[in-house]
Amino acid sequence: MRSIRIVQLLAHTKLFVFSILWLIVLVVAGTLAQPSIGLYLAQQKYFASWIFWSGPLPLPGGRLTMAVVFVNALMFVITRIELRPRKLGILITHAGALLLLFGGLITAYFSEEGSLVIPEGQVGDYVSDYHQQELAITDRSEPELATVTTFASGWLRPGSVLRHPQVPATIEVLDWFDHCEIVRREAAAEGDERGLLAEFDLLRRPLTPEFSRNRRAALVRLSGADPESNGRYALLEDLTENESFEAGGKPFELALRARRRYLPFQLELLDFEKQVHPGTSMARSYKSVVNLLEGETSRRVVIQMNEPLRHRGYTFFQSSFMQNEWGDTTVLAVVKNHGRLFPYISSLIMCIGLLVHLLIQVPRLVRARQTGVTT
Amino acid sequence: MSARIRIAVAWGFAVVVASVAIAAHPATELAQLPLQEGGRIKPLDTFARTHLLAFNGKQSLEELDAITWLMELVCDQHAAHERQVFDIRNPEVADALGLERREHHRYSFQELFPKLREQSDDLAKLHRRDPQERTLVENQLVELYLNTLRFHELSRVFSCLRPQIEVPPGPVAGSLGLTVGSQVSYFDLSAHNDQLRALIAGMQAHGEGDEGSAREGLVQLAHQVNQLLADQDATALAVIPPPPGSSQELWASPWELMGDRGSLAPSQIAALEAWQGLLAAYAASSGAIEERVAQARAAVASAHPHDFDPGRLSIEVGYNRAQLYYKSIALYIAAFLLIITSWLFKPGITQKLAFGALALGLIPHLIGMGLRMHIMGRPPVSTLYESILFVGLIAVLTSVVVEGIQRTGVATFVGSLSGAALHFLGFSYAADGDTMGMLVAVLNSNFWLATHVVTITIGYGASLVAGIVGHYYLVYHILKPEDGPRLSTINGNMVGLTLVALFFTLFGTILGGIWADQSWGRFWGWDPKENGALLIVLWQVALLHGRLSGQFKPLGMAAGLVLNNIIVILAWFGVNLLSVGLHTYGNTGNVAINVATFCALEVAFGVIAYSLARMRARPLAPSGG
Repeated sequence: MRSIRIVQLLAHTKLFVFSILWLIVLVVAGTLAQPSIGLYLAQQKYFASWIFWSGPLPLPGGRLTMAVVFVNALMFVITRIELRPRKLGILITHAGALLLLFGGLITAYFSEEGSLVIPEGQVGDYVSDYHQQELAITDRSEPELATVTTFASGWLRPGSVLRHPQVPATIEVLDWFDHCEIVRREAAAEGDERGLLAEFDLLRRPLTPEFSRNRRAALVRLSGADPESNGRYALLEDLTENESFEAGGKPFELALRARRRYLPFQLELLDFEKQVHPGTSMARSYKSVVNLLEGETSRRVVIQMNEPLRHRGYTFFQSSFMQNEWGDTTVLAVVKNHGRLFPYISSLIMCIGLLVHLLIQVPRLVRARQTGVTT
Repeated sequence: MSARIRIAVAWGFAVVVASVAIAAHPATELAQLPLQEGGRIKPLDTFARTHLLAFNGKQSLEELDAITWLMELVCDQHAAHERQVFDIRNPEVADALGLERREHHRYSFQELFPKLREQSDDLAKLHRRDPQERTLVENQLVELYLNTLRFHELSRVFSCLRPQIEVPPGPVAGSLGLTVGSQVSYFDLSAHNDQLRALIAGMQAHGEGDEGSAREGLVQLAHQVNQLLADQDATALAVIPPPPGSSQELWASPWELMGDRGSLAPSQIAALEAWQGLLAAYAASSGAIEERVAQARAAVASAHPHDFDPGRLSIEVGYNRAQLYYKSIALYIAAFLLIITSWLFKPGITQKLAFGALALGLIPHLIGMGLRMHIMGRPPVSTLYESILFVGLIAVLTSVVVEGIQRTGVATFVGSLSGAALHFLGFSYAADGDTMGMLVAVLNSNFWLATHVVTITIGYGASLVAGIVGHYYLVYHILKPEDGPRLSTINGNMVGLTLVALFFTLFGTILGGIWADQSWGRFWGWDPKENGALLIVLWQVALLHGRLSGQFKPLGMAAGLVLNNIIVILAWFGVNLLSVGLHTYGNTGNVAINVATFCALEVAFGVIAYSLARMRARPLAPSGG
C-alpha cells in the first residue's frame, strides 16, 4: 500500500512542475553567478552538483533535480500513461526526454575533454585536461628514455604523502593554491627553500572568473632524496622550466602540469591557416592541416570550424590558435564522449512525438469561434 | 473552402505585383557601382546611405538623395563642405563646441571643423578612453569628431583623379606633352613620371643656366603635388578591384594605387581612368555620365573580382530604395488602429479591414526578408537585427493564420501590435549602419543558421504571440469575466500557441546544442545564451504540465505567459548584457535600460492585471452557488 503511494507521489505531475520550477531557479542563479565566479565554477556549483550550500542551507543541485525529473517522468510513463491514440504523441515525447536526460548522465560521468596544442611541424600525442592537474616526476638518468611517474589531482591536497617505488624519495604536499601570484621573497628564508622558492614566494589570490587564467600551484616538501635536494619546492602549473632534484644518484624533474591523457595515435601539424574577411580583422575561417599518424600509416586531415576530425571515439575541434614570430600553433579541443549520440536520437524522437501531439491537439484548441460557443 | 483558395490566390497575386513593382524601381546605374567595405562587395548606394545615416541620422537629405550627396562630396568639396549635413540633436554637444543652438539641428562641415580642431587634443584623449567611462555628451562628441574625420577623408578620396594640378608655363609643359595652363590630375601626371625624372636629371646635370624657367616650372609643379599628397591617406572608398587572377581579394582606394604606376595592372589603370572620366562628367553635369558609369562597371567586371555579382548589387539598391519595412509598419499600424476602432464601433467591416491591412503588411515584410536572403546568400537570421525582423514576421504570420481560422479580431490585435513594435525595435538597430555585415567564423555556416537559428527565432516569435494572447486574456477577464465561451476560446489559443512555441523553442535549443557539439565538442555548456533558451523551454514545460496537474488555472496560465515574455526578452537581448560566454556579440548601453523598462512594465502589468482579474472572478463564485 505504502509502496503504491510512493510510486504515485514519484509519478505525480505536481512533483514534476515543482522540480522544473526549482531547475529554473538554479538556471537563473547559475547564469547570474557567471560574471563574478566564472562559467566553470558556476557550472560546478549549481548544475554539476547533487547538493550545494547556500550559506548554512543545503539545497538540491542540478544533478539531483534532474535525477528527480528523470525518475518522475519514468514513473509517469510506466504507471500513468494511457495507451490511447490521442496520447501517443505524449508518450513518444516523454520517452525522448527520458533518453535525453539519460544521455546527459552518461556525458556527465563518462566524458573526457581537454586540449591538444601542436606547434607547426611538431607532433602532439596527449590531451591536456582543462580542469585537472597532475604532479609529474620524470627520471632523467637515461638520455633516450624518460620514465614519468604521475600523481593525479586527487592526491594534491595538503597533508598527502606521495610515494612510488620508481622514485627514491618522498613528497609531502604542504599547501595547495587554486590561484596565486609569485612575488619576490622579502621575508627571511628558512634555509630549506629550493629552486624557485629560494627567491620567490607564493601569494594566495582570489579566483578569477576565467578559469584558465587561474595559476594553480602546490607547495611540497621533498625528503629522502640526496641531502642538498631535500627541502621545500614551489610547483607552478605549466611552467616551461621544471624543478630538478637528485635522489639515489639519479637526476629527476618535478612538475605540476595539466593532467595528460595519451592518445592511441599522433597528430602532426602541417599547416595552420587563418583567413579574414577582406579589408577587416574579422576571422572568416580557421583551419589546421594535420597528419594523422597511426602505426605505420599516416593520413592528411583538415580540421576547421564546424568540421571536426572524428577518430577512434575522439573528436578534435578547431578551438583556438597562437601566432607569433616562431610560427603558428594550433589549439584543438579534444572530446571523448560516449553519450554523444543521445541528443541526436532523443531530439529526433521528441520532435516526432511533439509533432504528433501538435497535429492532434492544436486544431482542437485553436478551433473556429462558431464551434467554440457550445455551452 | 473555395473562399480560402480565393484568398490565397489573391494574396499570391499581390505578392507578384509587389515584387514586380520593386524590381521596376528605377535604380540608377551609378548607385549600383561596386566597392568593397566591411569584407563584402556592396553597391555605392549602400555606402552612401550608411554614411549619410551616420552623419545625418537619415538615409537621405531633404534636398538630395544619398548617392547624389556622396557624389557631391567627392566631386565638389566646396559645396559639400557648406552643406548642412551633420545632425547634432543634443544641444549640450553644440554648446560644448561653442556652436549656436539651431532648431533644425543641422551644421555644415565648414562650421564644425574649426571648432573641433580647436579641441582636437581633448577629443583625441576622450577617444582613447573606455566608452563605458564616458558620459553621453562625451560619447556623442567623440562620435561627431570621428564622423567629421571620416567626412573629411571621403571628400578627398578621389582628389588624385580630379584635375587639380595646373600645368605651369615654361619648357616643362612641352617636355611632358601638356598644354600650359591646363588642369591635370595627379593620376594623369603619374603617366609622365619618366619624362619628369629625365627633366630633373637633365637639370641637375646642366646646373644653372637657361634651365632656370624649367626649374621654376618644376618647383611650381612640385609644390602643387606636395599639397595634393596630403590627401594620400584618404583611402575610404575601395572601388578598384585587384587584377584578374590575383590571389588577393582586397580592393583598393585610388590613392592606394598612386605609388608606382608601373606596377599597376591594365585592369586597374582602366578602372582608374573610368572613374576619372566619370568624376569629370559628373562634375561638369554632362550627358556622358551614363556612358562613363558603364565604362567603370565594365572595368570592374573585366577584372573578374571574387564575389562580384552585378545582379545582386542591383537588387540591393532596389532593396535600399524600396524601404519595404516602412510600408509594412504603416500597414501594421493601420491594422492596429482599425482593430481598436472595431471594438468601439462598426465591428464587422473595420475588423475585416484590419485583418486585410495586417495580411497586406506581410507582403513587403516577406519580400524584404526574401531579398535580404538573396543578397547575402544566407538564411534569414544571422544577426540580432535580422532576428528582430524575423520574429516580427513569424508573429504576424501566426496571427494571420489564427485570425483566418477564428475571425475574432484577437489575433489581428496581437499580430499588428507585435509586428509594429518589433519593426520599431528593428529601426533602432538599423540606425547603426550597414545591416548586412559579415559573420565571424563559427557563424559562417549556412546549414546551422538555417536550422538552429531559424527554429529558435520562430520559437521566440511564437512565444511572444502566446504572451500577448496572455495579456489579452487577462484584460478580457477583467472587462467581461462573465463571457465564459469567449474566455475559453482565448484559453484554447493560449495553450495551443504555447505548445507551438514549445515545439520551436525546444528544437531550436536542442539543435543549438547539436551545433555546439559539432563545432565546440560539447552539447551543452551552461553558457548564458544556452541557459536563456533553456529557461524559455523549462517555463513553457512547467506551464503546460502545471495546467494538467491543476497547479495553473487559465488565469495563472495567462499571468505565466506574461512572465514568459520577460524570459524571452531576457534570453534574446539580456544575455548579451552579462558580457560572458560565447554568444556575446555587440553591446549597447541603451539595451540594458530598454530591457529593464520592458521587464518592469511587464511585471507591473502581470501583477495588477492578475489581481484585478482575480477580484473580478471572485464575486461570481457565490452568485453561482
